[in-house]
Amino acid sequence: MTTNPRPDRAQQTTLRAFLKIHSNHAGSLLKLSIALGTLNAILMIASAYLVARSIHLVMFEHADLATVTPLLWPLSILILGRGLLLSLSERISAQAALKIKTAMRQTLLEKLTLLGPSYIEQQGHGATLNTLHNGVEALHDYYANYLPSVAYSALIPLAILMVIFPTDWKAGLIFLFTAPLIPLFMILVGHKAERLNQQRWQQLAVLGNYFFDRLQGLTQLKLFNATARELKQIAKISDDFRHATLSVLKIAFLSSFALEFFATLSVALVAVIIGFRLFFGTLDFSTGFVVLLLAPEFYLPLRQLGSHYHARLEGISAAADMLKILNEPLPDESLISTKTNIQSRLDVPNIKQLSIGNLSFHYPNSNEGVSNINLTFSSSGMYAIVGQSGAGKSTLLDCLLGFHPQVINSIAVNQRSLSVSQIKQWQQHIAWIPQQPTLLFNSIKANLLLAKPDASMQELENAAAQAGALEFILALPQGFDTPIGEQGEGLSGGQKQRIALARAFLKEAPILVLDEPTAHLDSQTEQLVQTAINDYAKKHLVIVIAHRLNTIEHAKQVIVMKDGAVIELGNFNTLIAAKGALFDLVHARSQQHD
Amino acid sequence: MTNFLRLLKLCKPHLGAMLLGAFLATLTVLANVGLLAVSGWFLAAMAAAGLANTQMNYFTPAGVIRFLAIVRTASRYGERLVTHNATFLLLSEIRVSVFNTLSQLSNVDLAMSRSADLFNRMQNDVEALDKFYLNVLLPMIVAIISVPIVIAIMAAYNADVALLCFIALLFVGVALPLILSRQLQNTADLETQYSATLRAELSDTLNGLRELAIYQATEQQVKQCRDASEHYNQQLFVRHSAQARSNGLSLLIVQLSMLGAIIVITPLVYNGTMANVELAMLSLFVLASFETVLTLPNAFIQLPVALSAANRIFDLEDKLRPVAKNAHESLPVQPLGLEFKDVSYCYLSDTFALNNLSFVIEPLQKVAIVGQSGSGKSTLVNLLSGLWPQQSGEINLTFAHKTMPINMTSQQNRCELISIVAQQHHIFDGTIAENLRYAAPAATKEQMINACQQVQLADWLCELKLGLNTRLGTGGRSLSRGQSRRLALAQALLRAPAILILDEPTEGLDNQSKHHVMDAILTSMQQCTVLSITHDPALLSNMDQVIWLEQGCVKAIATHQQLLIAQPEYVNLISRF
Repeated sequence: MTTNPRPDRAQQTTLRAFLKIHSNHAGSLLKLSIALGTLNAILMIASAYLVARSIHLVMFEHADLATVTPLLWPLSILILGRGLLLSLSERISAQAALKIKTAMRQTLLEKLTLLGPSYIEQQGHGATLNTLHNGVEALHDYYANYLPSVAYSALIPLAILMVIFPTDWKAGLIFLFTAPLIPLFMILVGHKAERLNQQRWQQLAVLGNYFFDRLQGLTQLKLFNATARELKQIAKISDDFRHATLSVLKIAFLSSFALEFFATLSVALVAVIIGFRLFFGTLDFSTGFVVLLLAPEFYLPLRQLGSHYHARLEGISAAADMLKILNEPLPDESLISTKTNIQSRLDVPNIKQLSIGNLSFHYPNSNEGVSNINLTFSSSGMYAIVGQSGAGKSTLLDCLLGFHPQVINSIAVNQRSLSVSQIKQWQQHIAWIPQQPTLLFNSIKANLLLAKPDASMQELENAAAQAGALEFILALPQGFDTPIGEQGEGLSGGQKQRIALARAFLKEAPILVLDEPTAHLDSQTEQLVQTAINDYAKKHLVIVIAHRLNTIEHAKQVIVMKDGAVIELGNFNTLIAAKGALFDLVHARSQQHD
Repeated sequence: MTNFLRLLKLCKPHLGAMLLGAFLATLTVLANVGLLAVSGWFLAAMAAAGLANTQMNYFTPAGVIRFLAIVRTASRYGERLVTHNATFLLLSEIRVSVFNTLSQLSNVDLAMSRSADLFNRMQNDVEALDKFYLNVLLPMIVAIISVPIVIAIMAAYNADVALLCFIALLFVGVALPLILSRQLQNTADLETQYSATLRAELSDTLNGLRELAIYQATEQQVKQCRDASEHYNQQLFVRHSAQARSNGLSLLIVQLSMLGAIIVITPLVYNGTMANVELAMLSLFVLASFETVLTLPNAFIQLPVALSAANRIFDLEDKLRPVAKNAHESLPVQPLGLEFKDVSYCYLSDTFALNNLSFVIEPLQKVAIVGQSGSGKSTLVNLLSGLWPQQSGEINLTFAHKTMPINMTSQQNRCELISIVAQQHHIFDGTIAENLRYAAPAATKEQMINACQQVQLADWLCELKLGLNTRLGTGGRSLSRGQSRRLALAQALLRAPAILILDEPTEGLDNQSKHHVMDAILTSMQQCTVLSITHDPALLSNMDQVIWLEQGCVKAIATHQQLLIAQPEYVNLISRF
C-alpha cells in the first residue's frame, strides 16, 4: 500500500501521461506484446469457427471423424499457437516492464545525485528510498498488466465484431449494442464500488498499523502491565473492524453483483435470441455456436480491465512521487551545466592557506543558514568549531566541502577563489568523516579502497593501523575481506568510526574535515581516535566540529558559532579566560538549575 | 504437514462460517459450469428441433438457464460476504495468538532474534496468513467437492470424456501449479536476497551522497545500483517467465481437452450411440469444467508461503517456557531503597556486562549513573525491569529496615513499584488520552490534565483543538522529541511509582525543550526514589549521588561536585556540546 492520498482526476491525467512517456524505454517491446496478445485473440476467433464448424458437421451433416479431421488438425495447430502466443506475450510484457523500471530507477537516481544531499534530507531518507525501491516496483503491474489490458479492451472486441459482422450482421448488432453497456454500467456502479473497495484496503491497512504498532511497543506494554488488556483490545478492534467492513462490503459487493449480473444477462440475451433464430431456421447452427463461443470472450477484456484497477491506482500513486523528484528544479542549472567544460584547472600542489570570505548561505524556505563568515586556516593544525545545534556548523562545512555550488567562490585556496568548475578537483583535496559515516554494503577492503582505488595492501594496513582499526580487522575471520552488512550492521559504533577514519587517512588529503561523534564511544576507542587525529593534525589541516572538551582543549583555534555567525575566535585558554561565549557554553549547563 | 494441521486447528472456532463460505463458493462454480453446458445443449436442441421441424419444450431449459444464472450471481454475492467474514474472523484469531505468544516470550528470546528484524518478519508472516483461508483453503475445498461432482455427471454421459477431463483437471489444477511453485520456491530466496541488496545499495547511495562526492565515487556507486537493480530484475524475470510459461501451458491443455472430447464423441454420434445434441453440450461442459480448478494454481503457489510463515510463528510459540510461579509477594507502594549485591551479568559467555556490582540506594534518594558506552548502564536498567533474568548476585528492595529480594515480587507488582522511562520510549499510535491510559487505565480526565500540567505540556495541550483526544500518529510522529519525553514522564507520574528509572532523559534535545523536560523531571522526582542514567550536568547537579560505572564495575560513588573537583576524566565525560 502506498500511503499517498488518492490523486484527483486532473492529477491522474498528468500522471498517466508521465507514465506513458516513460514507457518509451521499452515501447516497442510493449507494442510487440500487445500485438502477440491480439494475434492470440484472432487465433481464438479462428478456432471458435473451426470448433463450431466441426460440431455442426458431426451433428447435422452426419460427418464421421475422417471428414472433420481436416478441420481438427488446423484446430490443434491453432491451439498450440495460442498457448505459445499467450506465454510469449506475457513474457515480453514482463520484460518491457523490467526495462522501464530499470530505466526509471536510473533516471531518478541520477536526478537525485544532482539535487544533492540536502534535498534528500528535506524529503526524508526513508521516503526517498521507498520511492526508489518499492515505488518503482509498483510500476510493474501497471506496465505489464494494466496497459496491455487497456489495449485489449479496445482491440479484441473490435476484432470479434469485424469477424462477426460479415458472418451474421444481426448477431454483430447485438454485440455492438450491448458492448457499450458494460463500460457504461461499470461507470455507473463501478466507481462507487471501486472507491468502497479502495476504502476497504485502507481500513485493513489501518488495522494492520494498529497491530504492528502495539507489537513494536510490546516492551512498553509489559512495563505498563498492559499486555493482557491489550490482547482484549486487539480482539475487540479486529471484531469492530470486521463489523464495519462487512457493512461496507455489503454495498461494495452489491455493485459488483449488479455488474456481474449484467454481464451474465448480456450473454444470456445473445444465447436466447440465437436459440430462437436457430429454432425458426433463420440461422445455421455453425454460426449460432460461434456466436455463443465468442460472446463471453467479447465481454471478457472489458471485465478484466476492471480487475486491473488496483494495479492502475498503485502505479499512478507511485508515479506521483517520481514526477515530484524529476520535476524538482536543480539548485542552479546554469552553474551545474558548466561542469563539463573545465576552464580553469585547480592546480595547488600544496595548500598554504585556506580562507572563507564573506560567506552567506541560506536554505530556501527557511531562515537557517550562515551569514557573513570570514575565517582563515593555515596548512596544518586542528581547528575546532563549537556551538549549539542549529548554530550553522554543518551548513558551514557543507559550504566548505562544495555541496552548495552557489557560494563556492567565497572559498579561496592560497588566496585564489574557487569556481564551480573546480568543485570536483577541490573535493579531491579533502577527506571527510560525518557523525554517522556511511559504510557501503561491501567488504571492509572495498570500503577503504573508495578513498584510493589503487592502494596497495601495505597502504591499507598502514591506514588501518593509524586509525587503530588494524587489530580488530585482522581479528575478524575474513580480515579485510569481511563483508559489512547493511548500514554497517555487525560492527560496533566505535569500529565503524575507526574504519571511516582509516578510509580518510588512506586518502592522504591535505585537509581532513570531521564531525565528531556525540555518542559516548567506549573510552579506549575515544582515546585512540583522538590520538590518531591529533597526529594527523601535525602535518595536515584538520577542521572538526567538536562535541568534547578534550578536543577543544587541544585545538589550535576554537571557532564559536551562534545563529549562523562566528561570535568568538581564538585559543581555548584565552577564550575561557575572557569569560565569553565559550565559557558560557562549557559552564552554562552545570549552572542552569542551581 | 504438521504446520498445516496446526493452522487448521487455529481455524476451528470459525469452522461454521468457513464451511458455509466453501459451500456457497462450490455452488457458484457448479452453477457456472451448468450454465454453460445447458446453454450449449439448448442451442443445439433448438437448432435440431428447427431442422427437424418438430415442436420443442423450450420453457424448461430456458427456465433452468434463468435459474442457474440467478443461483450463480446470488451465491457469488453470498460467498464473497461469507468468505470475507470468515477471513476477518481468522485474521483476528491469528493476530491475537501471535500477540499472545510474543507477549509471553522473555526479552532475552526477543533480543536473540534481533527485534527490528523480528517485527518486520512478523509483519510479513501475519500478512501472509491473513489470506490463508481465502487464497489457500477455500480453492482447495471447492476443488475437492466440485471436481468429483462434475466428473460424475460427465461420466454419466461418457466415461472416456470424463477420464480425459479428470486427467486434464489434475494437470492444470495440481501438477502444473506444483511444478511452478517448486520453481518459484527456488527463486524466492534469491529474489528476497537481491531485493535486500538493491535496497542496501540504494540506501548507501542516498545516505552517503556527500562522502561519495568527496571520494569521487558517485558514478561508481550509481553504476553499482544499476547493476543491483538489473540483477534483481533478472531474478524477477525468471519468475515472470515461469508464470507466463505455465499460463500458456494451461491454455493449451484446456483447449486440447475440448478437442479431445470432440474426437472421442464424433464416432459415437456418427454411429448413433449418442444423441447429436450431446456433442455440443459435452464439449462446452468440458471447457467449463476447468472453472472448478481456476483458483487452485494460486492456492498451490501461496501454500508454501503460508506454511513457512506459519512455521516461523509456531516456532516462536514452541519457545514458550512455563514461568516459574514462585514470585507472588505483593508490596504496597511506599518509599523503597535498592541494594545491589555482587550482581554480574553476561550476554555472551566470558564477556561481563556487569561484574560483581554492589551499591546501595536509600529510599527517596536521587541517584545518577554515568559511564561510557559498554559500561553496563543499560544492563542495570534491564535487570531492574524484570524482563531480563537475573544471573548471579542479589538485587533487594529495602523499606522500613526490612530487605526483600526483588524477584520475590510478582512481575505485575514490580511494574507497579518501578516505572521506567526508556530512551526508546514507545508512543502508541492513538490519542494522548489513550497513551496516558496505557500507563494508568483508571486515570480520570482531571488526573491526566494534571499530569500534563506537571510535565509542562499544559500550554501545548491548550493549543490542540481536540485536547486529550488528539491523535499522535505512528510512533508519535507529530510530537517533537521533547514533547514525547514529557509525555513519557506524564505517564510515569500517573503511575506514581516507588522507584522512577530514567534513561538519558535529556539526550538529543535542543536547549529550549531541555529546559522544559528538566522542569518536568524535577517535578516527577519529588515523591520517589530516582535512578537516572544521564550525562547532563544540569541534571547531575540535582542528584544526591553519582555512581560512575566502568566496564561493569563501580569506578566511583560520590556527589557531582566532589567528582568535578577530584576527577578531570569525569569532567571530560560529562562535557558535550
